[in-house]
Amino acid sequence: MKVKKTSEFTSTAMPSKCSRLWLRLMVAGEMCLFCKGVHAQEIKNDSVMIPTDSTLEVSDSIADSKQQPAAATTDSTDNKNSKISKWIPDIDEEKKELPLFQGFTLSADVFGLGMYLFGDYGTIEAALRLSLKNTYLPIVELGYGICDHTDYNSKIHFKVNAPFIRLGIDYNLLKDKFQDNRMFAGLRYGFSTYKYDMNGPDLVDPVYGGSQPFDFSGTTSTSQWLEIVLGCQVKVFRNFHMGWSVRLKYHLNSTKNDNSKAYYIPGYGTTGNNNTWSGTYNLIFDLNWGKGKKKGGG
Amino acid sequence: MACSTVTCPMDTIVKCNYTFYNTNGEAAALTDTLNVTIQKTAYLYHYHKDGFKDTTFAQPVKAFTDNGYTETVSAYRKDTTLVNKLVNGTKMSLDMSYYNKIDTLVLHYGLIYLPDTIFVSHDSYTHVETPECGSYRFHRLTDVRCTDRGIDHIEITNPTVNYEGEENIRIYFNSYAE
Repeated sequence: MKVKKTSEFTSTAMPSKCSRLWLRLMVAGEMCLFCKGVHAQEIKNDSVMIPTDSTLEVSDSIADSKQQPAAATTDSTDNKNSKISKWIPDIDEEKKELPLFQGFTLSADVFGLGMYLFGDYGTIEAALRLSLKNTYLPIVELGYGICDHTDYNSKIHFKVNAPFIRLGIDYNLLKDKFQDNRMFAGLRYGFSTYKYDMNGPDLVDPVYGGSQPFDFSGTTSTSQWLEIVLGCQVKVFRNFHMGWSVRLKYHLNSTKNDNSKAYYIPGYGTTGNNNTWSGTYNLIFDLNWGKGKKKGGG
Repeated sequence: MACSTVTCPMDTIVKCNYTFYNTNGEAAALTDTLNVTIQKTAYLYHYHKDGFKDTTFAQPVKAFTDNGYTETVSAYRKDTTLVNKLVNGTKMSLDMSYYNKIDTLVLHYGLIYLPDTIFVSHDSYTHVETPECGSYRFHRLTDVRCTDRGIDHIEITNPTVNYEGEENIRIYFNSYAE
């Protein structure tokens, strides 16, 4: 008897009286091999369900001894009298055949946009992510960082508008790579070249006297940083997903300037310390250009 | 988007740090009494208009010139004491000028009748760490000279003057001042 094994039951045709048993081999009108009851009235469609390895040998022996027409799959052509109407495919085996290329996703961050609309600084950013076997997810994030901040106490004003780019890769942590939801961890390398303006009240010398205006315009700087990313996304409907990520950012370096340090680095955030926390909330769209199909037409 | 905390420096006073040494190059305390003054120039702005009373201000007042007053500027020397009666001192921290190229320090001793003068040449620049921490004037020492009544010689050890508190200048006093 050749049968495929299933890792789990579907409960559509499971007789409740035999629920304590893993193995049942049932054909309409015949006695249940384990509880000795007849479940004909319970079985809407005659079914064969053999779930586990440990019980498979038992079922084989029983089936052979009784010469059941339970040759459920390929060898059943010579036994056309068997009434097998439903076959539970082996999903695990099918999953192993997931193609390498699983398409692109395009996403936009709304958290940074909200911060820009309601605060002094924020980002407008979008990301393009490639899915390889739905496991490795290389990503490019492009954005525009904006800051227009005046400190309440010092009255120093800082302004910057500049683009940034982040390159990185995520790893899908979910065991089931077939589902549309993802939980991922990853790394990013961020880079930005920008010009900023900083000015403030006149500096008055309290001892020697004198004062001069303080205004630095068009100071050029370049910054690099790394990010550790942890996030998730869930399918909302069809190709639309939503998700969030939390990021720990490490500032690597910035162009040194005697006069000032950038208060805000586009794509990184404020520069009070060498590391900072941040997050994103993403609207995500699957782009199924040339997406590889599951083997067997899945 | 990001959020972070700002760490401003603990000591936000920018001063030039002088350390005292003897002629053997050993750190030493100056047993004599020391006063340090700076020589600076102050200006007065005088406004005159026929038929009206003359007025003088320490700062220019644009309203007078707009109303037909003539402005005359006079300069005068105004000394300020930075160190008062330091005894057994091993070091001192002094303010530097924000906008002058050379600071002139006058050291008055208790036992030596004539004072010494130190000329400190420097470039100054505004530094802002973050807007929350405010703005400061840092300095880069370019040269230092002195007279030799109580001072043997003087040298720059760290040309960058900021709020880190590091030694910037060493003063080697001769045996008269020690």
